[in-house]
Amino acid sequence: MEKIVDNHINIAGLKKTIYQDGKPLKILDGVDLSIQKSEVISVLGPSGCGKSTLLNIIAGLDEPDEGDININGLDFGSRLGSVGYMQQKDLLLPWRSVKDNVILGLEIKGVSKRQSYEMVEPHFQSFGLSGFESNYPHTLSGGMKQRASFLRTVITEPDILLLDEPFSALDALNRSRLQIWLLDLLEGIQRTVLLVTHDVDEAIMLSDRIYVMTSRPGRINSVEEVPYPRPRNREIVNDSSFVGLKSKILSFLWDQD
Amino acid sequence: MINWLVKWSPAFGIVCLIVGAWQLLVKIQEIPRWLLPSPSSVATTIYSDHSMLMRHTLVTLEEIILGFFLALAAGVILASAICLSQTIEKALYPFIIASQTVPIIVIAPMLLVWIGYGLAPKIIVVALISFFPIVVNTVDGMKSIDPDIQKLMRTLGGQKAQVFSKIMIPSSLPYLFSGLRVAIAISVIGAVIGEWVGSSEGLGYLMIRSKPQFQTERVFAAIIILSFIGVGLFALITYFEKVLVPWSNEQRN
Repeated sequence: MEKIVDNHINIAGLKKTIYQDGKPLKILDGVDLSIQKSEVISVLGPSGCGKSTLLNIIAGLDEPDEGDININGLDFGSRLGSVGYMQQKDLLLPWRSVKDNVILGLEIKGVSKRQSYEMVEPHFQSFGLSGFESNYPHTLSGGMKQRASFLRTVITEPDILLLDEPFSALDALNRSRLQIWLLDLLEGIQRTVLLVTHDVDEAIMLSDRIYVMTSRPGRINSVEEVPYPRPRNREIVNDSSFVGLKSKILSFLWDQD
Repeated sequence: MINWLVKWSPAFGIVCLIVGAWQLLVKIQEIPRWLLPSPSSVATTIYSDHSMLMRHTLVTLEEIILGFFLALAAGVILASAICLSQTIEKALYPFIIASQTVPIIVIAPMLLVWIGYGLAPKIIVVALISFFPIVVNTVDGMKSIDPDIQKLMRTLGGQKAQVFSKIMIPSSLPYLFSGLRVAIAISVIGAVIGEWVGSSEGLGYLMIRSKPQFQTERVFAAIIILSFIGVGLFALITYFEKVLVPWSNEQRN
């Protein structure tokens, strides 16, 4: 059933201009990137470099003006519903319990409620949500909300996961906890992931390759391979090569302004 | 119960103050009963005429409740149509607003001519003035969804109908209830106006009949009962909101 393709996702020469008050504003100016199956890549860049626009295009919410985009052979119309997109905010619906929130995508796809519950049930443990299935979102901590939102995204088994600064709303301690949790989780599920972040540590720790973008109009400034094999642990942040890679990426980002 | 009394003690305090001052004023100034009856004589009237008052109260209550439910149904249907179709919105919204600028006191006697005496014209008057806050609030609620939630629904493959049923309806409920609270208060006025222009029973009818007969106590008795109806129904709606929309308060905090 699985198609064997080297490049799971291939993006070439992506350009996008939007109009603000009638004035053209170039957001993306020739973005190229590729992701192999089961690879985790990060896109790092200053605010306003067009990362959100890039994600919207990949998710199928927006169309590029120019350029090619190939995601596992899906055309533009069919990307909606096949690309998992986790936004910055948890976006849990306040009138639904945790359990009913995480099955939203399954419900939309027409899976029966009973079957949906059966599908999500085994995951509550590893997502740190067991015992809270019937809680309403406002009773959860920020980290739990984010994990529930993540479970809602992955439970529909999308071809690719887009994560838009998923931990940016959390405090530093919870953020690093969740990064480690995600690191472990990604080992288990073998999923193709595109992570957008501001956090260089997060990018290095989690991904196989890092694309650094320029400020607007967004282009890929450099591509850095992350040399650590998987499974990884949190200790890599203390590695001297980690610090070296971090300062190299930071210098790219600082040169922007 | 004790908690409830403590919570509302400021309101009871104000009632005691007004009633006390009123009683005192009537006694000291020796104001004639037909001009301004004392609270004690109003209370006596409520007690001695309670079966007659009860009969009229039930009639008015029926008009209020039926009219209110008609307004609720019409309001929710109109709001849904407005939110689902821009054409419908552009076609209907101006008329919905215009309908509120026509004085109800002018419409009410015409309804009497068109549909006759009886319950129906009163229900329509009630519905006519109380559907407006329901429509406006529900439309605002349905349109207030976070654009990021729209995005989420689209990336999950959600169609327009699913966005409507799974997102727009539940997120409009707290707004709907705000509309219902306004609607219930003005529907009491609607019922009274409906009875004033032509009726043979109900608290509005009782007021309009008692005034020329200088039975001012009865007018005041009717006013007091109407305020109790208003406060009671308002409280009932607040209670239903707590039960049906438990997340509403959390969201506001």
